[in-house]
Amino acid sequence: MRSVLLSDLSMVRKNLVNGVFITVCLVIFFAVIDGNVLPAIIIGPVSLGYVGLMVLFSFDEQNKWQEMRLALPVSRTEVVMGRYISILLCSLLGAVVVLAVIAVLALLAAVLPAGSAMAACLDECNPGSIVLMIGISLVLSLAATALAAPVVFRVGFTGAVRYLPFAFFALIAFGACIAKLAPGGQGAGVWIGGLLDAVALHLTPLGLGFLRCMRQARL
Amino acid sequence: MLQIAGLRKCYGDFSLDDVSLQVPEGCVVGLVGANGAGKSTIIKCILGLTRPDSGSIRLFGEELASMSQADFVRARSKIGVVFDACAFPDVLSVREVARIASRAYPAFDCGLFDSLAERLGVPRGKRVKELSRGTGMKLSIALALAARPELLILDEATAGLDPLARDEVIGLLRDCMLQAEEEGCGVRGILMSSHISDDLEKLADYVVCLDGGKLVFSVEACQITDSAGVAHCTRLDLERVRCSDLGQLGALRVLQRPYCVDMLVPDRQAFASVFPDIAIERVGLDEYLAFFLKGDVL
Repeated sequence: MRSVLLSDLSMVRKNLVNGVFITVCLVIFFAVIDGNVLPAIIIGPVSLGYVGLMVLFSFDEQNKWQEMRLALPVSRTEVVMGRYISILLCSLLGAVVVLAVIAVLALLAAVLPAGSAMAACLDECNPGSIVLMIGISLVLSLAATALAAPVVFRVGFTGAVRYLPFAFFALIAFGACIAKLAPGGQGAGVWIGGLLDAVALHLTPLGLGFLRCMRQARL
Repeated sequence: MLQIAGLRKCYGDFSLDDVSLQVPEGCVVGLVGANGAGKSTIIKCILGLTRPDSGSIRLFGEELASMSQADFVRARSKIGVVFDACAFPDVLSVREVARIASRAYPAFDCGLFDSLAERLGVPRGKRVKELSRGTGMKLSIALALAARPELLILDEATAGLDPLARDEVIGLLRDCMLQAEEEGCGVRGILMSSHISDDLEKLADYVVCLDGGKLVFSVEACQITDSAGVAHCTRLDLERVRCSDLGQLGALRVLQRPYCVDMLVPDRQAFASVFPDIAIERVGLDEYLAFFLKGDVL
């Protein structure tokens, strides 16, 4: 497992540095636009988790690295679990970055005059809400990984990028339909239910069989 | 060390059909064949990268199909692998790759890796993408040997190396085998797939040939280089040989040339004693293969 994590984190290190910079910019941008930093917290773990996912799976197809990795004395379970853990670590880095941004904003808000825009961003921030938003974003990041990783492991990264956009669009459309049908006040819960249903559908034999047929039909 | 019996694997329009070979302890087995013959498929089956449809693979005396995941990982820790290209991500440095290998292989010897890298001229500070193809192969070979494997599997490992580097690598492999014989530990078997017959002639104890997924021959290397020969015959000579006792055995293969017929004989000394007037010379591995893949039985 150590060799799997070491190789994954070594490969993604440089991209994470770029990702951190982009995440900081995005969090500040959306906090300023929205006037509230709380929703922007989701960006951190999701974006760096996404960077980890895309970079690591793309490297697998380079130079037969995936074959070499599987030929090493590491079990398949460790290879798969190691990949999930690597992406989770990237997401946690995103959470750390976001917390750092909030800390810097809070420091600046303390220094700036009262009633400033920066202070207004942090009005709704309290430890409980920050932890909740970070938790939701980590769950979203892991859900996306749980959706994408089995497909990539099965059909390879090049094949998966042809089908995953369909899956995500289906997920969004499915959730939107369910949210529209649900009575008022239940939108968020129904969205989450719709998301879980869509993930479950793609992970079932039926869902994977559908993707396999699409691949064989060379769509 | 490795025994394969009746291996079959079907890939749609290609199938590996009833292939059997073994790598005895202390021996180097050369695997030859045209592109697409199934050499890499056999190697993938041994490493567990693909599951065979039927057949048996015994690794270090244990049946692969009945090994648990933990046992298979333990067995793979005793196998060093070199693929036909440097199979590491471009962004990693040589030091990082060595660190990853040292975490993966329990017996990885960092000191040995350093000395092999020095000997083969692999710069440790560079990234994989900055290495030439040949240097990348040398890195793969150094890593595989530094893992202190008992079985070394090389899939076109010397492709892309210049002749001097190839000689050096072959010499290194030979030294490893001799050292293992003396010390009782280290590389005790090599399975080497290659298109470069020179390398196999210098190193291999056995040569196994595949064509179209089928086993064509499996012979000792000395049978090819020390016993077999190529007789250059006219058509009249061919008829004489056909009617003789040697011709009745069915062990002779012929290749039609523009002005003569070349005949592969299993024992050139015996042939020369019976037909002293027919020119005969020793046969190289390339020519031996050509007789089996393109020639006809007399």
